[in-house]
Amino acid sequence: MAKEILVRMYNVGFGDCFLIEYPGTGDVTRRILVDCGSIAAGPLTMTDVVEQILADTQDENGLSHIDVLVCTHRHADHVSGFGNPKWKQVKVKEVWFPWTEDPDDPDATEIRESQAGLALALVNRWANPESSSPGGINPEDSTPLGAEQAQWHAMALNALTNQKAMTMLHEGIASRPKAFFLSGNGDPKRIKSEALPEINAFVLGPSKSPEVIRDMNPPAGKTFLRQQISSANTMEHLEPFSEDWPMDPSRFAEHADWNHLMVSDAHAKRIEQAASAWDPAVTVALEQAVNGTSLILAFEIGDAVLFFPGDAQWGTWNEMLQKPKARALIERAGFWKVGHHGSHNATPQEFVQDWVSRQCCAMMSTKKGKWASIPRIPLVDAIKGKGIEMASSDSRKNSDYKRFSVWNKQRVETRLEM
Amino acid sequence: MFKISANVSSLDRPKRRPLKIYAADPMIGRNLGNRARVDIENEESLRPGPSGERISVVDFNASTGKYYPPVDLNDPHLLMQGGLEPSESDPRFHQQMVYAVAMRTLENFDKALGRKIYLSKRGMPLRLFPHAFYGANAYFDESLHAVVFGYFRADQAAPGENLPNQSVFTCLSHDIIAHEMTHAIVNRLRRNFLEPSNVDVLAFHEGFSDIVALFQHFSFIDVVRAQIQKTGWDLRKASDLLGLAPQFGHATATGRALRSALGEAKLQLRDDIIEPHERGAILVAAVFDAFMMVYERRTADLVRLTGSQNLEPRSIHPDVVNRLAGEAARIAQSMLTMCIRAFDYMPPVDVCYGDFLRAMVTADRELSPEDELGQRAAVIEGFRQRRIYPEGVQSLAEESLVWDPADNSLPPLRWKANELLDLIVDAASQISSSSTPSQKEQMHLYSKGSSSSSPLADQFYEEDFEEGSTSTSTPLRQDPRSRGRAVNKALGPLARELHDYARKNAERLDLDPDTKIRPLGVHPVFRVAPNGRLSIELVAQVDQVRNDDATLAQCGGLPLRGGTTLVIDFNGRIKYMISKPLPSAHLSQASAREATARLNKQLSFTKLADANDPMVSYLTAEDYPKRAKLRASFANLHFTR
Repeated sequence: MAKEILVRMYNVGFGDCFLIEYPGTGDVTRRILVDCGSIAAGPLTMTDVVEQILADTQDENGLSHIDVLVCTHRHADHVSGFGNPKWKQVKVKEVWFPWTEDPDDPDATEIRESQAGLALALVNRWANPESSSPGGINPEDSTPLGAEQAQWHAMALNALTNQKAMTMLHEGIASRPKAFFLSGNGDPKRIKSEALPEINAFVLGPSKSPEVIRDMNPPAGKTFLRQQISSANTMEHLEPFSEDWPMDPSRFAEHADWNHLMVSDAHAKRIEQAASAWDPAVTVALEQAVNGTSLILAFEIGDAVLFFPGDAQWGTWNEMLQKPKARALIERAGFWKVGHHGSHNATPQEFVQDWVSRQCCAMMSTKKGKWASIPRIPLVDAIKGKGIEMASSDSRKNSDYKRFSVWNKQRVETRLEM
Repeated sequence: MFKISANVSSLDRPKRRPLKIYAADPMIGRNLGNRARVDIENEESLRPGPSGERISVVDFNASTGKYYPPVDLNDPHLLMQGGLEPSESDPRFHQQMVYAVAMRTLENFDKALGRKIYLSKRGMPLRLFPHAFYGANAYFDESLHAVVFGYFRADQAAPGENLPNQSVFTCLSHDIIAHEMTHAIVNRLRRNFLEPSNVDVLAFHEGFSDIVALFQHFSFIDVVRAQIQKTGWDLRKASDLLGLAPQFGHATATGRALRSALGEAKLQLRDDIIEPHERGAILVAAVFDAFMMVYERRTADLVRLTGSQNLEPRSIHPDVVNRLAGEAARIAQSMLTMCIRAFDYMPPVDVCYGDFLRAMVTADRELSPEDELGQRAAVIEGFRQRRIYPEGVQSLAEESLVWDPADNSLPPLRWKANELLDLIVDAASQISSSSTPSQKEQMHLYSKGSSSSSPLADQFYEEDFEEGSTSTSTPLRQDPRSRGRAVNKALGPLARELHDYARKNAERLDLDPDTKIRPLGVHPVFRVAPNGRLSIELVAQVDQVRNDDATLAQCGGLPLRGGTTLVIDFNGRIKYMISKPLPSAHLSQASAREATARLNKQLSFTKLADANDPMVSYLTAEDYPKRAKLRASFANLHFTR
C-alpha cells in the first residue's frame, strides 16, 4: 500500500488549526500542528478542539505526541488554543516561530513591543470610546454602531500579546522542545529540523528586508498611527491652550465682526467624524502588520508538496512571486492552506491564476458573517473556477469533490500519496 | 480706510504686508532662532481671521467644540510690528502663520502661472482650520473646501527634541501648511487629479506638494545662509533645508524629519512602489537631483575661485556664503516656477509622472527656448536617474519630450485677446505686485499703478454657470462671489465658444462625440520670459466621463475619465493638444490604442490597490463597491504617513 499523508483541518470557527501526519521511518507517525487558535467559536469550543487534538495525537502509550508545533504568527485566532495548560504534557520536539518572536533579536523585540503597545491602546480605545477624544464613537449611539465597535474591539484584541499562549509555546511544554525562529526571503530555504528527518521543510517568509520590516512596525513605517491613539483622555488634555483662549460658540457669536467665521454644525460634525473615522483604519493597519509576520512554509514529503502561507500579506507575497525557485516548488503543491480565512489581501490573483496547479486541493478555515468580505467571494470563485477542489470549514460537504475523505462539521481531511 | 483729498500728497497704500512666522517649525526655531518674515499681498478687504478674498482662517476646534479669538492683522499695534511675534501658546500667532504661509504658497502659483489663482467655491473662500481636531494629521478636504490641521502630544517615550507629551501643532509647520495648501491649489487647477486612475495620480499630488514646500525653504535666505555656513557648499548635506516637517517627524518617534527631498540615494521608480507618499518621494528626488545639478554647475566657478570646497564650512568667507545662498535661492525659485508652470500643459485627467516631465519641458521651452540655466537638461537627467520614463516618446532628447504640436488642419478657435485685455493687464499688475524683486524687474514694464483687481477665474464650477443659482450653504461673504461672477461674465462667452468648438471638432480633439463634453476651465495666460519676451496664450481644458454601472463596478466606484487640454496662441491656432482619450469608435488608430491602454491601466491599478489596501477586507457590503473612491480622500490617505 502506498504511504499516505493526512492533512486535517479542525473547525475552530474563526481561526486556524491544521494537523499533518505522515509515516516516518520505522513505525513512527510524524505529526506537525500548524496553528491552534480561534476568536469566534465554531461547533466546538476551543477547549474541546484542544481535547480532540490531544486525543487524535496519542501514541499507543496513551501520551500525546506532536513532533513540531508551528506558530505562524501571534494573532489570537492562530494561537489562543496553545494557552490551554494541557499542552504542558504533550511531547513536542520543536516549536517553529517567525523570526519576529525571537526574544533575543532586538529588531524582533522592537516590532513586537510596538505592535503590542498599539494593540493595547486600541483595545482601550474601542472598549472605552468616551475616555478618548469626543471624536470617538459615542456608546449611546444606536446599536449598529455598537456592533461595529465590538468588531473593531475584537480585532484589536486579536493583536494583543496573547501572553498565555506564547509563554506556553516558548517555555511551558515539559518536553523542552527546541525553538526555531525562521525567516525567508521568498526563496525556499530548507529548515534544518531534527524532528522531521524524512522530509524537506522549507521556509519562504517572513522576510527580514527593511521594506517588509517597516510594514510590520507601524510606528516606524506609519508615523501617524501611534499618535492617533495617544494618551489624551480628558477634555483638559484635549485643549492645547490655556483657559483664557477657548470660547464657547455663543460667546464667539456675540462679536458681530467675527460672524463670517462661524462654522455650521454640519461642518463641525464632519471634521469631528473624519478624525474618528481613522480608528478602524489604524486597527486594520495593525492587523495587517501582525499578519505580515506570518511564517510561510512548504513541506516536501516524499513526492508531495504542502503549502502553508500563513496569513501573509501583499508585501511578503510580492517578494515571493518574484522568485522562480519558489514557483517551481509551489507549482508542485498538492495541498494549499488558503491564507487569512479567504480574505483578498492574503492571496494574490496571480497566484491563483499562474502558480497553483489544478491538481492541488485547498482548505480554507473561515466563519462566514464575521466580516462581510471574508471570505472574499470572487477569490473563492476564482479558486473553484480553476478546478481546484476547496473545502471550507464552515460549509457543507460538496459531494462532487473526491479529494476529501472526511468532511463534517468538526473537521475536513484529505490524504495525499507520498 | 482713511481718505486724503487728492491734491494733498498722499501715502500710497502699501502693496505688501510683512508677517512673522517660524521658518520651519517651533522645534527648529529653538535651535537656530530662525524666525522669518514673509511679505504677502496687502489684501484690501482683510478681516479678522485673518479672512481675505481667497483664503479665510477659521479657528474652530471640532474636538472641543470651542472657538479661538481671531487675529485682526489690521490692528495698528500689529501693523506697527509686522504681526505677532512667534509663539506656541498664542493661537492668534498660529492663525497669522497659517495665513502667511498659505498666501505665500498661493502667490508662488500666481506668479508662475501668470494669473491669480481664484480659490473660492460656491462663494466661499478656502477655509483653513489651524486647530481643527486632536490628531497627528492635516489634510485638504475637498467637499468641506477646507484645509484642516490637527494638533497632538509628542510621543511619551521618544519625543525627539520635543518634551514628552508636549503639544505639537501641525499648523506651525511651514511644510505642512505649504503641502496642504498645494493640495488645495492643485485640486483647483486639476480637480480630476484626486481620482487615482493610475498609480501615479495621488503620488503626483503628494510629491508635487512636497516639492513646493521644500523649494519654499530656500526663500528664507537667512536660513540658507546659516545652513551653508554650517555644512558647506554642498547642499546635499543641507538637512535643515532638505528635511520636511522636522518637528512632526521627531514628535512621532521616528528620530528624523518626516521626509527628505533627496530620499534614499538609490531610490528609483518601480512598479511595486504604490503608496502615494513613497512613490511621490521619487518624484521629489528627481526634481531635487536636478536642482542640485543646476546649483553645482552655477556655483562651481565661484567655489573654485575661492577655494571654498577645501575649507571647513565655518571658514568660508561670509561674502561667498552670501553669494552661494543667493544663487541657491534664485535657482530654487526658478525651479519651483518651472514645476508649477507645467500645469498649463498637463492633461486634464489621469496624469502620469511622464506627463509632468513632458509638460515641464514643453512649458519651459515655450518660454525660454535657450535653457540658459540648464534647468531643462538637468530635469530630464534627474528624471532619467530615478528611472521615470514617459510613455510613447522616442528618446529622452528635449525635442522628443516636448508635446507633439497639434494637427495643423484644426480650425482656429476664435477668441479676441483684446476683449480680455483688461483682465490680463489687471492680473499682470496683481502678480507684479506680489513678486519678489527679481521677478519685479522682469515685469515692471507691464505693471500698472492701480491695484484694483479682477482676478481671473482659474476653473469654473458648474454651479458658477447656473444663472441666478443660490448656493445652499450660507456664503461666508458676498465679495468673492461677485468677483467670481465678474470674471465669469468676461470668460463665460469664451467658455461657450470652447464648448462649441470641442463639440464640432470632437473626433480630432480625441473626444468622443457621443459623450457629453464638459468645459473645465479656460483662461488667458500672460507671461514674461527671462529675455523679456511677452507671451499671451489661452489654455483650455475639457473632460468627459464614463460612469455607467459596469465601469463603476470594474473600477471600484471611480468613473473612467477622458479629456483634452488645448494650448491656443494669440491668433486662435491650436499649438498643443494634450489628450487622454476615452475608448470610442470614432478615434484614430493610435488614439484608440491609447484609450484601451488607459482603461486597462486603470483596471489593473484598481486590482493592485485593492491588494495593497488592508481595509478592503473589512468594508461593509455597501462600501465595498466604492472602495477606490474611498481611497481617493486625503483624510484617509494622509494618516498613513
